[in-house]
Amino acid sequence: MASTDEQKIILVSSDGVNIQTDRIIAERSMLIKNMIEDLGTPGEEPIPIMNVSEAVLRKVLEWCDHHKKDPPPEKDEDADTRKKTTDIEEWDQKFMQVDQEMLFEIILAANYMDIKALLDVGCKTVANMIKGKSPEEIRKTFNIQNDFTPEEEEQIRRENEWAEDR
Amino acid sequence: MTMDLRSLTYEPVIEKLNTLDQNLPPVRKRKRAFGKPLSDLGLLASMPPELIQATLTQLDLQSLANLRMVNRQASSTVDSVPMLRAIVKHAPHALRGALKIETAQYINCETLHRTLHTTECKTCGDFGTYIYLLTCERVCFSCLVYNRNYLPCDFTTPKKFEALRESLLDLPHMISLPGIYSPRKERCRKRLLWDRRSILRDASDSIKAQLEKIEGPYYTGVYADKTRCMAVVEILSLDAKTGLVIEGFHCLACRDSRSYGWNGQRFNPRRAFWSHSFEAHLVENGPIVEGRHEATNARQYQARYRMTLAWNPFWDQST
Repeated sequence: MASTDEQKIILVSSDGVNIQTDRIIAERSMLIKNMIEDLGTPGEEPIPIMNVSEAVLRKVLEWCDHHKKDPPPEKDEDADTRKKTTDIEEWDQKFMQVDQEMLFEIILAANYMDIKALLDVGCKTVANMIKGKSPEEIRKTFNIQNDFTPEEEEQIRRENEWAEDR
Repeated sequence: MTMDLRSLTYEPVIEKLNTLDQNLPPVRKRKRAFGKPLSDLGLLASMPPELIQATLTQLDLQSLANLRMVNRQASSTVDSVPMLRAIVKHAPHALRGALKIETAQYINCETLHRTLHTTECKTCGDFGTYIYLLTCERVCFSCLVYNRNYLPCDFTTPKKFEALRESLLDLPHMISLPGIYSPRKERCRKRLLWDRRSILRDASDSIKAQLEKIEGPYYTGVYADKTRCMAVVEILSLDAKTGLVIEGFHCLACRDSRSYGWNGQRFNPRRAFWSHSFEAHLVENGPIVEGRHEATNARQYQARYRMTLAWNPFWDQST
């Protein structure tokens, strides 16, 4: 399977744009990997990625390109590192500095294309956006409307203070 | 084995430590009738629920508490996180305590959930029944009482330490809940306490010198006992498979703290066990016959014989 390194394949985004990429890059996605294995004729047929638009697909492939040499995560190790922190690699942090819509699109694409590591980075980025913020700041960040009545707000504040009866 | 265990052990009847959970006010049951959510999670709503859940389990307890206050939908989303539900169900005091002493910001939902399911004291590996909330780790009675690592550093009192306190705000610290923590039952004011290991690891040398100055070389005793329990809640372990509470028990043969084992070790009546650690204890100290640890092999007999010879004869008569 040495030849897979340089093999090219063609992906088709949801808006019908063909993107050529290395097979090794695309195979960071378990979805594409399985598809290639099922098709059995890599490189000949373009692979449609239904739910992902061109801009997002290019962004995802950029991430895959940077991480193509990462060792495949072992099961136990993966669970362990995820438990540890919400720390993100520097390159990934920069990569995730996009507007929120793009961020969520990337997360959805990672979920659809089954790229665990990217999904993880995405979720951590969102977690960091919530972390340490006051309720009002969270509302502003994600554009959330407050629908509590004043009594409800008072009650939930009390619940939080004592973590009482939920 | 269960029948065996019951005759060789007893339920603890010892006085409890005045830990933080003893000082929390009782949980008041209130009717909760929130209206139907009128708005969604905004931009977060573009994520499917399972991804939102995965994201939330990585958050610390304080952020989750804040997120609950955002709106109705957010509050019910947070409350449906399975790990948080398990915590609220089995260890409400850990959560209430952490929120109250403001260490919730250091503790991840996932970390606390994992700590709940451990049985071993992080320092000595014995059966631990307490959780130290500054670093969220399980600790046993002996380590809690005798190990200085679990005694938070107190920088509350002197006014001149104000600058010092501010320089330390990045390190894990807590604000104690006023209440009764010492065996002498005195009331304690609010205190600002720091995790000792973080201070020793990350603080500058001048701060460590200051700490030594405040505490002196023999910093233990009643004063220390007060702060010791301020960061600690008593939480029994949960079985990872069954989700049931693992009750601790004590060894019958170790009941009398004046007696010694064949190896000359003083028995510790407060040492708690659970079935696994008790088996190891029996292997180490010998099976219990007529309420005593019995020596089983030549090495143990020899050790016991040497102990008898070395003992003060007056002492020997009295035991």
